[in-house]
Amino acid sequence: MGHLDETEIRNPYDFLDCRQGKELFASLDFALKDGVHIQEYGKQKELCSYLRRFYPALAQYYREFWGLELEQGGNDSERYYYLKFCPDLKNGIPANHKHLMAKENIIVGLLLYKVYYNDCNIELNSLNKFQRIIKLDYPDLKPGIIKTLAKAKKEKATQFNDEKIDACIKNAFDEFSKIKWIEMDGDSFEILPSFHRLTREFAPYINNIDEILKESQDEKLPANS
Amino acid sequence: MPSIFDHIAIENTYELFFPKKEQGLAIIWLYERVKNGYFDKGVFKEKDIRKAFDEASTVNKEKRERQQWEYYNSQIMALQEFFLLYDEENQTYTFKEYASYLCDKVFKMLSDRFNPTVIEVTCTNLYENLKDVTEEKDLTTWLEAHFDKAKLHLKEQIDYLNQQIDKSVAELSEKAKLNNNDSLVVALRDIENKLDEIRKQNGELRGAFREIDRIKSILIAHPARENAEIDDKISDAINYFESVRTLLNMVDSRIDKIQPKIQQFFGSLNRHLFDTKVEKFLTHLLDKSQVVLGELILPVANESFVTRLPPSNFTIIEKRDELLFVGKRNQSPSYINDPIKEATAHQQGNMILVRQSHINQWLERIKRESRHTKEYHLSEIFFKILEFHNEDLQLAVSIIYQAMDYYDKHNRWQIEINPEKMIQEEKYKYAIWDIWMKQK
Repeated sequence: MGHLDETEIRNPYDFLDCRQGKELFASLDFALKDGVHIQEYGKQKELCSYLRRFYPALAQYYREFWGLELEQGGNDSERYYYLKFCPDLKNGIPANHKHLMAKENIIVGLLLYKVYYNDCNIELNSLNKFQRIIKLDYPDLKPGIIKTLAKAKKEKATQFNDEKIDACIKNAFDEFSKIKWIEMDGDSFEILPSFHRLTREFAPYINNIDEILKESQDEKLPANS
Repeated sequence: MPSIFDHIAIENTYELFFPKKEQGLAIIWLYERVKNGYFDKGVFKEKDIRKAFDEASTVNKEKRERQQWEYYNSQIMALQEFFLLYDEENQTYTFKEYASYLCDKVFKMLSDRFNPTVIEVTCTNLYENLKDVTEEKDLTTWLEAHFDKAKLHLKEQIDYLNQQIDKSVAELSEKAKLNNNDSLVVALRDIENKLDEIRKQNGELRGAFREIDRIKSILIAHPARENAEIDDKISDAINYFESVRTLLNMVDSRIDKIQPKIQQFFGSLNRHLFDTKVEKFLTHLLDKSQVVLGELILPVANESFVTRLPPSNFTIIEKRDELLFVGKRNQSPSYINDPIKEATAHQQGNMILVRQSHINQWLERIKRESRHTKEYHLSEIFFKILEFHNEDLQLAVSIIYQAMDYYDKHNRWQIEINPEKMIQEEKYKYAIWDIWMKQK
């Protein structure tokens, strides 16, 4: 035991020196810095097991040398990993160097969350079908969808607006697929555990949504009275 | 003979086969009374038909005064083509064959077939009837009587199972949408039952599947196939079983896909409160977001989050070979020290290994990607490297050099450079000759 401990102290970067490291570190590093979420899924299985094995050391490496947090979310088999980019950290990435998730994509992501998880559309696995559901099945939400995704001045459904919504959804899915929130194969897709990063990111707002709504209601009242 | 489509598209022909709702309902009303013996020997009178139309119009929610005689008359005349047979002598009506056939079918689809075990029973019967058949005569009987009769049953049952799945999935979604705690408890109990039901049906399907395999293996090796006529019929039967198996597999794989997802939903039940809040949050964003000068503004302080490192501007320009890598004109090459990288390099000798590992990784990728193509565009990979490595030109150049060196001496590949053409990508300030790996 003592010997093992010494080894660990002597070389905290054994994630590079070990056989797995030589094969996998570069791929893992590419992927993480490119925003890819790593999880126990498909071709990522090997990367994920390597990351799990060296998680503390890797997390330390990214913290010390890059000023980035190697975060983990989800439980057990649903666990996923990603780099959290904090552009304003002291030794981190300059503030103007950041690629933000497009806000339209955030809306599309939350719509997907609602349709799949809240409304239990368990067989939903087609982009085309999702586009159709968004356009047709939620008349209550449609004006907001037209405003935010089609950016139309009047919240009326037209073919032009619907086509813009479709394109917006497609864009978002491409991005989600790139960062491995979903796995896409042509029109069909599968939601991966790391999709929960979206709600995790907005958890402070989501958990306090009732207060936020109340505040926004209170703000309105004096103006109306 | 014109196509059935052209045929049925002729004016007033379609309506003869597929009656309007009111007519259809009236026919079904009469059919039920024929079936339960209300009309002696299935014979009814014109007043019964008028009553049927009155009942149908009530169901159809078309409140109207008692119909005019002309109305009844024109409806009855229309139905006489395929549905009603008029006996002039007795002034009575009976159903024509098409009407009975259609109504029987509807009745069967709505009642009989709600029994998924029929697949298993049908297949077992087929197997039992076939297993000891040796004579050609008996085999013909099996093919023409037992098998032909069962054919219809089997596929109908598969349709039924698919519809059951559709229904369960749709119900689950509808109940989830109600989104209140009481109905959630009910919905959960229902989901649980559905889950068990689907599992049971899955088992029955697998059972049926096994029998089909046994039937098929008997048919494939049956000595009676020496008779060409029987052989044709057996081939048809085998093809049919193949298609049934495909359909069964489809149902199976659909259930296989749904089951773990239902488990996932069970697992996430404790998230229900959070999910409800997610929905409120979404509605809040949809309501309160604004579009200003084409940009979407969300009503929260932190509107978005960083997903990845974009390519940065710092890098080194080193014209190792002017023929290959040319910087943009009027651009003074600049080198900006990156203290983080320098410190890292000093502190960790290991980082050199990382760099070498990056190079190997890319060379490996080039090797892998070029394996199944006849030509491979190295200039394109050059920009991909720049993108991945914060425009690390040195790294990109090293990799392209090493790749060119290796593949130019390769026995299968050669390097082709087209000095006429410069490849450039808008977001980068570099241009590179058009360099290809081409198979010899």
